[in-house]
Amino acid sequence: MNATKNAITKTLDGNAAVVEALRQINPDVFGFYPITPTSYIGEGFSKLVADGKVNTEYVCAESEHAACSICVGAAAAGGRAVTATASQGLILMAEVLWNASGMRLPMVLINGNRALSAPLSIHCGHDDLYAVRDAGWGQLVAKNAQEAYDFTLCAFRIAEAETVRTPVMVAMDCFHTTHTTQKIFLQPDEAAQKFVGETVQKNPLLDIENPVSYGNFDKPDFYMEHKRAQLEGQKKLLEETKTIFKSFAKTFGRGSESVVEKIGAENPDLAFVALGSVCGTLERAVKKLGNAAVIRPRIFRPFPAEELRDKLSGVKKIIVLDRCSPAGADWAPLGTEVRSLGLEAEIRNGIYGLGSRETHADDFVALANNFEKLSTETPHWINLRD
Amino acid sequence: MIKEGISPLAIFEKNATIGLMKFENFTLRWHSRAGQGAVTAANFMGEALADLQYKTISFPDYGAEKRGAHVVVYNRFSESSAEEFLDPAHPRKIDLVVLMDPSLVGVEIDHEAVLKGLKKDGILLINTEKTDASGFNKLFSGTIVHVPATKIAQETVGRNVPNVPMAGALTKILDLPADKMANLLGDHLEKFFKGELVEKNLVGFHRGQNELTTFTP
Repeated sequence: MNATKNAITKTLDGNAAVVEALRQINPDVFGFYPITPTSYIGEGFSKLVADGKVNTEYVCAESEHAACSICVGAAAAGGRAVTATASQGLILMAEVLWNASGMRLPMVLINGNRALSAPLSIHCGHDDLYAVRDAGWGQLVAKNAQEAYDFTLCAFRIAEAETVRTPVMVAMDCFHTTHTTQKIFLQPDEAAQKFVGETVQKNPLLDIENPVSYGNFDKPDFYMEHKRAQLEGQKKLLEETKTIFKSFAKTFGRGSESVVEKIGAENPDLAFVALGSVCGTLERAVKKLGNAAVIRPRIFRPFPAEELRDKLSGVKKIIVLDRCSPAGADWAPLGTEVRSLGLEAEIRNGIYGLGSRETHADDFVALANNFEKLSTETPHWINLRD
Repeated sequence: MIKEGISPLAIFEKNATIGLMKFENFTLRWHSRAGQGAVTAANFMGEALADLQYKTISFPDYGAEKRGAHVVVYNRFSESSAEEFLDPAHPRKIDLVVLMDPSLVGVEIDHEAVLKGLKKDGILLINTEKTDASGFNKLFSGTIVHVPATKIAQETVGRNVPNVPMAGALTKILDLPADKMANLLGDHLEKFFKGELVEKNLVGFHRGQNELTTFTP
């Protein structure tokens, strides 16, 4: 089988790859407010609008809060809506994120995972991603520009599925992915469009024959039922993601089929668990270590617990890596999640790369070799000055 | 012109099968100021080398997000070892450093920072009208090449955007197919400019290839 099935190769960074996916998808509405590192997504897409390559309603908002609200309105009206942001922008959107998921609006958001202020940093961190993890959205976390493109195609299908109807964000690492230019595969327009399919409307606000209302007041008699019903959509989101990833790999002949990717030894003694671009560095570290593997969740919310348990079974030592401070908790978010899986393995939590602090394969090799000395109580901060 | 016998090209091994240089994780680091086009040039080099069937990656390391601030960009080219290419960590072993703006040295960065990680037998390419190695010869034993890229840019496009002449210099140093590179550059520039400006840049690209001098102590 041709591994790339008529794919076109282009040299693009993560932002440009997402713009290509969005050009193919041609969404109804793009609400946008620029912020480093995803400004180019709006810049590149607005050029497509100006050149008539897409017929999207591109709305320049006065803030990220407005940009996301525009998408909520558009999605409620029955349109396919998308926005892009990062860091401070994502947390300014926070209020609206809960509204989008609570109203079961299948919009898509592209995030460039960036550290939060203060101190002001324009570099990478997963603080923003973790800060909104409980917003009820799906969070797909890309490793590189290729996955940013692939996930953008998948995200609309996942979000709009009949049983899901839940918004999805595609997260890629600030600069490490958004601005790293690599040769990637793009599917031909027709094939990509066929894969994504037409917008699936459900109870659109603009269907005046069948009037509905969104964002209603809920009294104590039904709020809890509505939140419980919403949870079903989130559970289905994980199932649907598995189906779509499989379908993607089958249709295009590339990409991992699983929501949790494992790279390295077949039956490793030691495994690193991490999200995003650092997994490239970790792949080199596990090669040097030999009997080790990288276990990478490609989705953080809903959390793929079952698949992680499966991929981590038999592993004796686990190092979970977080690009975020634990901020008052014992362990940082991914570490806490993995610890709660109830595995028999010994688990440690490492904090790396805040604000893009350089972390090399050798640092991870050293961490693995010092496993016994790492605290079981508190996370180990990698490459931190005394 | 690069002088015979001390050409930096000697450090590369020709790959007979494709007639191009054999690069194994060949890594470049650019030191520039925001606005001089280093990121654009690095992305172009990445795109062009990808068209020449190499595996390539390029990534910037922005500083203060202000015009004139120090910007570092990396390029890496390779024929095989794919795993390096997934590694987003900044490379520690550098084959070639491009110093786009020598006025950075002594103000934003020191000589040591420019040479950090540069292999002993590596190459330092400096944008300068002088041919005195800008003080680097005392600290570095590899090959030092000068190109008056700012002068060329001023004379061709009328602005201090030395990135295209620098890409020309790199094309010469790396012994890349000059005609093919010029075609790729033309295509790349047409995404941003039209007509005359593309032609002027191509003149700068050719001059960058031809106005190199290697430092001789």
